[in-house]
Amino acid sequence: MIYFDAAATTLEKPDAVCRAMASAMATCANPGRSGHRPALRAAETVYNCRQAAAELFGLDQPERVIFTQNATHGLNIAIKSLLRQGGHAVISGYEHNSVARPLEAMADQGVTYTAAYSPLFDPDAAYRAILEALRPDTCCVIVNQVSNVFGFQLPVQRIDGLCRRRGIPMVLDASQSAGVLPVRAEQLPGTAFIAMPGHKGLYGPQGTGLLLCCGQEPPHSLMQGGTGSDSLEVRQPEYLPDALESGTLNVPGIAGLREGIRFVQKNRPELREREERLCRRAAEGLGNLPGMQVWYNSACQSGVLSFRMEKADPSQLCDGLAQRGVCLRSGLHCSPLAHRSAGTLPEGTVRASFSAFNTPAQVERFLQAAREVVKTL
Amino acid sequence: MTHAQSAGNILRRSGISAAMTKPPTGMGRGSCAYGLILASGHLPVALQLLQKTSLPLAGVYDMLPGGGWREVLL
Repeated sequence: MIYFDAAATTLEKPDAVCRAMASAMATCANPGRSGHRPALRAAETVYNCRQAAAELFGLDQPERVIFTQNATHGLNIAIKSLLRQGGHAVISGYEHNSVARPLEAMADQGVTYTAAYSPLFDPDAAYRAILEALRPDTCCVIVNQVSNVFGFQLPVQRIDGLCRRRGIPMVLDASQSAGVLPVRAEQLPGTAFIAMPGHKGLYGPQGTGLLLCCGQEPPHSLMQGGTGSDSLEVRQPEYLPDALESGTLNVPGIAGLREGIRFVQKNRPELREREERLCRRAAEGLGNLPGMQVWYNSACQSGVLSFRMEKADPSQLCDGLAQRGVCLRSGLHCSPLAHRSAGTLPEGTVRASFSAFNTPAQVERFLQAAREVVKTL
Repeated sequence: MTHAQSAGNILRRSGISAAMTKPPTGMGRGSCAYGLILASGHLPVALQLLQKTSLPLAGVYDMLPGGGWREVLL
């Protein structure tokens, strides 16, 4: 089997991730509740991960690292923190439904938004589209660092600068970039929140995610409940991380995520280069096949590649490759806005996305499988 | 308990040993409900270090012989 679906989740994890999870299952109790040794061990496990994430992402206060279930969870907290009183949001034309759907759902609370559509692989146009979409009542700008469909790297540093100058908080969706590209809170002074999954480029288990609270905007908790702190008080604590972490944390997941972050910290520059090399070779090989459309631009693309046959539905191509042991994803990838921006609606594309555990030999086998499938369509 | 953990780290980086503890209910008013036990001689420096941060400090207590606690007025 060849697994090229890392943009959905990385399937292969460092061995240490699984070991840490098993160890936490056996030795960790509920953190932040009791004072006995298994509870304190759990608390230490959780804090180690919080601190590692703070270091990796340039936050000086570990308390500002919030554990979430996934990136969607973090994005919902961010969006509902900034728009709870209503207002206008600007989002890039490459946002996932994890951004668009919460905004749509807040329409009855007076929330409106503008999707700033722009041509694919044109960072200047993406910046201009955001700039032109800003209004006097714009309360936040939401952008992903890397499109989950096309791997397009948006000019987040410039958009952050724009937001800072205008006094509009930015929300960064780092779902496809965390662990691969540099994501540093201290270099994004206009950014209020950064959301990311733990189970993609950070190589943690599914069910883990991080929300970095970078700004001074008061966070809005989606869920209230026990935190182990301030227990005499029936109101939810307002300080971080307790304000946003009610109920028992996913300690085994967090233990695994800690090891995933350690793996990234150790291998980071190579991870990006490796994924980009694999992506480039796959794009070259696919581009040589008759009737194949490939969306690739080495100047602004991360390790995610979209392609399709001109005369066949993407699902047929994807199924043909799956029958030959290649795991990809076809369709809209929960991101109709990105497909609208690129002109790939309504069928979408087939997506290949790479991880640290993929090899050049796998790419060559994938290309051989693609040659075979193309002949059948 | 994250605040106590962060505070403990700050103290340890300055060479002050601090052990985490769960104090009796009520002592941790308005805080994360966990505390740090450290030698009384380190208290002035520890307070200086922690007051430079945004970490909340609910109170300082002396451990009494026999297990009781007495609040230290700052």
